[in-house]
Amino acid sequence: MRRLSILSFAVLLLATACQSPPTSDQPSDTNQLEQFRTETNDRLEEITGELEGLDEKARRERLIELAQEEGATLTLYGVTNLEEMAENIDAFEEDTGMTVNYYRAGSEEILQRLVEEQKAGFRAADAVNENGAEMVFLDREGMFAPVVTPASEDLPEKGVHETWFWSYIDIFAPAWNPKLIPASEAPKTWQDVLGKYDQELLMEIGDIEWFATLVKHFVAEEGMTEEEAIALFEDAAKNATFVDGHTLMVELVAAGEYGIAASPYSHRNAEFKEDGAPVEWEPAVAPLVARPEGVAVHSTAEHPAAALLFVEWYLTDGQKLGLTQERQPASTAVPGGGLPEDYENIVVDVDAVLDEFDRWSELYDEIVQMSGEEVLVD
Amino acid sequence: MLLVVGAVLLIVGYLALTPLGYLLWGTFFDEGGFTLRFFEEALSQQDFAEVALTSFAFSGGATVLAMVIGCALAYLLVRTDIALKRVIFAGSLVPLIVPSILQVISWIFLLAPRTGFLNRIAASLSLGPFDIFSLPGMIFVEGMGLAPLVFLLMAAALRSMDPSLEESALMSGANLNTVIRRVTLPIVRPALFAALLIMGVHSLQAFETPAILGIPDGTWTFTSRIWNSLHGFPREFGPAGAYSVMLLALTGVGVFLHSRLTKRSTAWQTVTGRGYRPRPIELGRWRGPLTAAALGYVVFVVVLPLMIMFFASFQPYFAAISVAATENLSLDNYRLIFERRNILRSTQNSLVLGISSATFIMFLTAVAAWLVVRTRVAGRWVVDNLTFLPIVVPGLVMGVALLFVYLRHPVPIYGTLWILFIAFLTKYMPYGMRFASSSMFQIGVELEESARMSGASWWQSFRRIVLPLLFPGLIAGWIYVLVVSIRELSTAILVYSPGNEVLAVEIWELWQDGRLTQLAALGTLMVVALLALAGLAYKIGSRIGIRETALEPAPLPGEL
Repeated sequence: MRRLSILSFAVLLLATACQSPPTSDQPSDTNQLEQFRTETNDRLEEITGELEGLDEKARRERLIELAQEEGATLTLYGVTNLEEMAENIDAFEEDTGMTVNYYRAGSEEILQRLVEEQKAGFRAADAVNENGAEMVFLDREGMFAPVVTPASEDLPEKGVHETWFWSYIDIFAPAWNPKLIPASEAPKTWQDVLGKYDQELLMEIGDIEWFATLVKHFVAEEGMTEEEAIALFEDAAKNATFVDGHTLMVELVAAGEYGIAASPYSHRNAEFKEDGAPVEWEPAVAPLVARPEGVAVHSTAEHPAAALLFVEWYLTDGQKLGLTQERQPASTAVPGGGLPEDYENIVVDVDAVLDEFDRWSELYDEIVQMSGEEVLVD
Repeated sequence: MLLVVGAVLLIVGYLALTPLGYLLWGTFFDEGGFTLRFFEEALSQQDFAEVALTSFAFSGGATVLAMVIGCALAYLLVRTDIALKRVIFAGSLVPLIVPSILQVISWIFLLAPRTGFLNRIAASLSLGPFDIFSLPGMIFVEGMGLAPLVFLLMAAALRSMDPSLEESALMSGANLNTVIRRVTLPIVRPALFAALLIMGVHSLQAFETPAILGIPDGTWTFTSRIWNSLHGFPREFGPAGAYSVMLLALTGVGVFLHSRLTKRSTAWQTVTGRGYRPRPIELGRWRGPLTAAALGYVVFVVVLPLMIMFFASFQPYFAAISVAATENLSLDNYRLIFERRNILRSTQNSLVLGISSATFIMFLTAVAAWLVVRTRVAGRWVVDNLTFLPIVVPGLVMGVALLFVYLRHPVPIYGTLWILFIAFLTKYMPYGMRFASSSMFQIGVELEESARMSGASWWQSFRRIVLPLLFPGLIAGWIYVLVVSIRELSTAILVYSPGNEVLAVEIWELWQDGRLTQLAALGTLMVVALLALAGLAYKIGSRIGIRETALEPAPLPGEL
């Protein structure tokens, strides 16, 4: 029996010893990865060649055929709410006859998943939908395949990159409960939001881009130094409560548990208001923060035609559905699409934020942890 | 016999050691070789001492609360003639069935400082609000969530106990207090320590409660810190590993202590070759008040949160209960749940995974428990500790470890349901083992010896003597693993893939999307289904194995 135990240990040790430590950054199967990449790249070139010169309708039909040849299946990793994406996916499946596997997770989880799969030389995702800064990050890690598509023609200039495209624009718009904060006390500026509502304020634990963009705005437009701008947030945090989830923020405000949420999405505010909940966000605080999300074909996609088909569909047909969901489509071909004109807004500079991501992330982490310091418990 | 035992040993070893191995590897090594820098990082965080203290306070408080309630309930129901046993028994187990996240949210519905139902009642009585978003709030919710587990473990131990020892004490003139203190408690000590250990570890690595109630308040524990490191990007596996290894050290000490205390297993045996007929202790004039207290516990702690979740499932958005709120009630949330993409497949996955892991685990641990308790094989303590090891790995870290293991191992199970199966096997093996070995402790060896002397093979003796005697414990364990695996979240959330979602993940997504009322609808459906499942399993379980159940002692000869 003892020998058996020793033998088992030895086998286990051997089994685990053949890999690099989990925390190392070296991809453990680079050959496999390169092979997949080359495959996908070649395939995409073939596809592009075939589609050249075709008009819109013919292009769509040919692409559908090619995707069907691949097996008529698509694996999509995305951050969009399941309910909203489900409508799009159902429509896509109906239009094209594809079957979609949608893996929905938070933006950080998707990042983690993609990076870990890449490290292991494992291919799963065909297309990816992520928030702006994450798209830039993934792009820099070589996760996306370069794609040229006429579907990107109606996007704002900033929204077209070699490998990914803006699909929707999320707008951070503070929301408050009129029963707790009547119109006369409603916020007009971000300084109001951060400073006026002791104990009533909800903030989100992961809104690093929002934070970075506002700090830069305060410095550039309001004449503050960076320290002063950051101090605003620190003071707010000491009297605020942090939650994980943008919709949850609105839900708690609607319930009357808190008076105001600092960074929910405008389309969520509108949705709750429509349902009859006591949620107000207009007249909107100025300027609102607009953060694009994007869509791309994965560089090791097993079904590149399907992925390209989805990207093109999402940038055209998929934009109209967004309006009914109160979301802001990026395509200017849709009435009201592109950067919102009704509200003063600043667009998150995703490249710049990503360049300094560690610094902003650390700063914001400290701010989040400040909420425990002076919270009063009656 | 050697074949079966050898196979079990290999499986247990593999399941227990691989994720642990990856955890230690990743924490103590980086590209440059052996390093302690992750520990330095974790320890140098400015509030580390506070985090540690809070974790201990949280765990200690929740454990004490759970032990007090669980032991009291177990004793009352198994040993005394308290009324309404069935109702109290069923009610007490319900929190085991309800996913933690639902319990926490229900308590928020009840005790949110401003809008919580109970707080609004308290306010009308001019009593201060009890803020659930606080350390006491966390202790309360976690303790209540753990009490049923204590109850199950202690009930299984008490049920298998020979009551004649207590009866002799009573007949010798001891009062109930003395009997409990000097006869009952010492006999169930292995089970008590096992329960204490499990609760302590369980609460130290609890996830949902500290994450949902603690973070908004700024009350951090080890697990919410681990989650924070793993949640953001890039994943800070190092500090997470450091925290996990520290937790591991704590629980390793606990396991060691437990092994030493329970080495003398024969002293605790009370299910022996002699027949045993338990007789419930009469409570006399205490019967009424104690029944009321137990019932009150069930109503306040079990029924009330469920009722509020039920109510919330009809609301379009979470709002305090009021007359105005009743105008907006509808079945919309249920409709939305049924229309939800993948819901059917998730349900199927949950059931398949739950049933198969429960069955596999209970068989595996029955053999392992026999090996540990019954044989004199050198090194069997290794198996005991191996089966217990996964309990020290927080669910989150287990998920990450498994992800790494199976992303890189040649075994192609990543992206399938199998990885979830392995995750559940690994995670719940300790619980199965505790149910199996707690019961095994109390079964005397003469029964098997008689069988073997009469010519039975090891397998025959195991199958026809040991297993049936173990059945109450095994069934309890099976039910527990099935139900708990359906509600499991922290590991599944990391290892599932498109097409392999389980119900717990659906609930999590609803939580992440802030759809509290839809979550309440799905939660209600799940609880109803799980209750039915548990009820069914219990009915079946009480038919197999020994006739005696907690509620119906065998009739004495002459009573028939």
